[in-house]
Amino acid sequence: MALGAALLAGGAAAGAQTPGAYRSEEPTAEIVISATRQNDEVITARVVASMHDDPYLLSDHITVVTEGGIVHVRGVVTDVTDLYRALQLARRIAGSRRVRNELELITDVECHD
Amino acid sequence: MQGAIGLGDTYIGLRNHVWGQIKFGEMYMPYKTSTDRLNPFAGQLGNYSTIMGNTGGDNRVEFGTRMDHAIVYDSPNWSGFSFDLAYSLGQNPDPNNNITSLGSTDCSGGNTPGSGNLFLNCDDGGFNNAYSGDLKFEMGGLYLTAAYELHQNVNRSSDGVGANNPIYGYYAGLGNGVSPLLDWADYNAYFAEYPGAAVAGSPEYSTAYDMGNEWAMKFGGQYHFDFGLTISVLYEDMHRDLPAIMEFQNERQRTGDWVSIDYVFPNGKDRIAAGWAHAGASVGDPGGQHNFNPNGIGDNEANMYTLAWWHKLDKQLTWYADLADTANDGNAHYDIGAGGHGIKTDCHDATHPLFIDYSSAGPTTWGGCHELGISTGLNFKF
Repeated sequence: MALGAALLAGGAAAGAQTPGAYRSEEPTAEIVISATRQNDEVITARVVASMHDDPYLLSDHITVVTEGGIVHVRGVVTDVTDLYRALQLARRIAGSRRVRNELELITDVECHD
Repeated sequence: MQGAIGLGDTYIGLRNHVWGQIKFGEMYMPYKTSTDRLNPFAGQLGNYSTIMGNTGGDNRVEFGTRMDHAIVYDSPNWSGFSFDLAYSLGQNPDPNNNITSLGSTDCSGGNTPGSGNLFLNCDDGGFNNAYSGDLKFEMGGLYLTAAYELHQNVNRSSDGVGANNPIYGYYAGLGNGVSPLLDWADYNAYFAEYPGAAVAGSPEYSTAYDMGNEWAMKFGGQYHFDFGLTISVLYEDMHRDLPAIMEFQNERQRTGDWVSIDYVFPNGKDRIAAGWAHAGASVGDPGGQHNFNPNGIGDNEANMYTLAWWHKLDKQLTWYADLADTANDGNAHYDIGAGGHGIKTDCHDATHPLFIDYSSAGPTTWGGCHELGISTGLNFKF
C-alpha cells in the first residue's frame, strides 16, 4: 500500500506540471495491485518473524495472511496469553491496517480431561 | 478416566467446510464444550465444573461429562453463527438404568458402579439416552452461547436413602448388625439422634418414584477487550422431574452462576484470573444420607472463589499458582477440585464418625465444610 501510494503521489506531482501528461503518467491498476501484493507479503513476513522471535509466544500453529492490507491471524492457540500476544504483535506491525483475529483457542479442558 | 492418559475424546467422522462435521464415538457433548472457553481454570483447583453442571456437588459433572456411543454434528460458521447437536444412545438393557450400558465400563454420566449405596449398581445417576445441543455466536471479541442437555430416566435410588429399599431390608433382616454396605450401629445411633431426618420419612422404595428426566440449560457470554482483559459470565438452570412425593430429596434441581475476569499483561508472559461460582439452593435434600443438617432443606447453597497466576518461562513452559476456596452451607458438599477431574476432596476425611454416613464404611462426606486449596506447578506444551 505504501509503495502504491508513492507511485500515485508521483503521478499527481507530474500532473501538476503538465496537465495533458497527467493521465498518461498515472500508474495502471495492475501496477497498484502488484505493489499492494508486494507490500502484503512484506507485512506478512514481518508479522511472522516477530511471532517467531518472541521469546514467549508458541506460534507453531499460527498462520498469518495479509490480503488487501488486512492482516489475518489464523490457526490454533492453546493459551489465551498466546492469543493476545499474537494479536498484539500483529497490530504493532500492521500499524493503522486492520488485523482480523481468526485464531481458535483450544482450552486445556479439551486437551487434558 | 480420572488422571488417565489416552482416554480423551475418541471418535471417527467426516468433515466438510460447507456442511460441517459429524462424529461417532465417545466425546464431550455440546452442552459442555460450548462454554469451555468461559473457564480459565480448566483442570486446576477452582475449575468452574466444581459447581457448574455438577448438580449435587459430587465428584462428577452430570452436565459436563463425556458420553459413550455418541453422535455429534458440528455446523459450519455462518456469519458468526454456528450450532452443535448430539445424541448419545443409552444402550442400557435395564429398564431402570441401574447397570452399566452395553459396551461401557462406567455408569452413564461417568459415575462408577457402586457409587451409590447399593453394591455395583448405577443407582446414583445412571440414565439412558441423552440429547445435547448449543447455539453460538461469535463476532470480534464477543461470544454468546445458549445450550441444553437432557438425560432420560435418571436413576437416583441411592438418593432415596434406602431405609425402605429391599436390599437394606434384606440386610436388616439378617439381624447380625454387620454388612459390607451398612454399619448398623451407626445407622441406629443416627436414628436415635435425628428421628425426624428425611431417611425416616422416605416413601416405600419404588423405582417408579426415583426415576426421572434430568435436564439443564445455560446462557453464557464472553468479551475479549483488545487490551488483554476477558470477562466471562454464565447462568445455568438444572432440573430433575420427580413426583411431588419425592421432591423433598431432590438435590439435583438448582441454579448456578459463574463470573470470571482474566487479564493478560502486555509483556506477553504474565496472566492473572479470578472467578466466582455460586450454587443456588436445591428444592430438596436427601438429608440424613451424608450431609444432614438440622437447618433443613434449602441450607445447601455454596460459593467458590478462585485466583490464579500464570507466568510463561519460555514458549512452551508455564509456571502457575492457583488458589480455590469453597464455602458450603450446612447441607452442601461442593468440592474445590475439578468436579471429578484432577484433585478432589468432596468434603471427605479419613474418619468414620457416628451419625454421618451410615451407607458406607469408608471415608465419609461432610456437609457444610469449608475447603481451601493451593496448587502450583509447571505446564509444558509440546
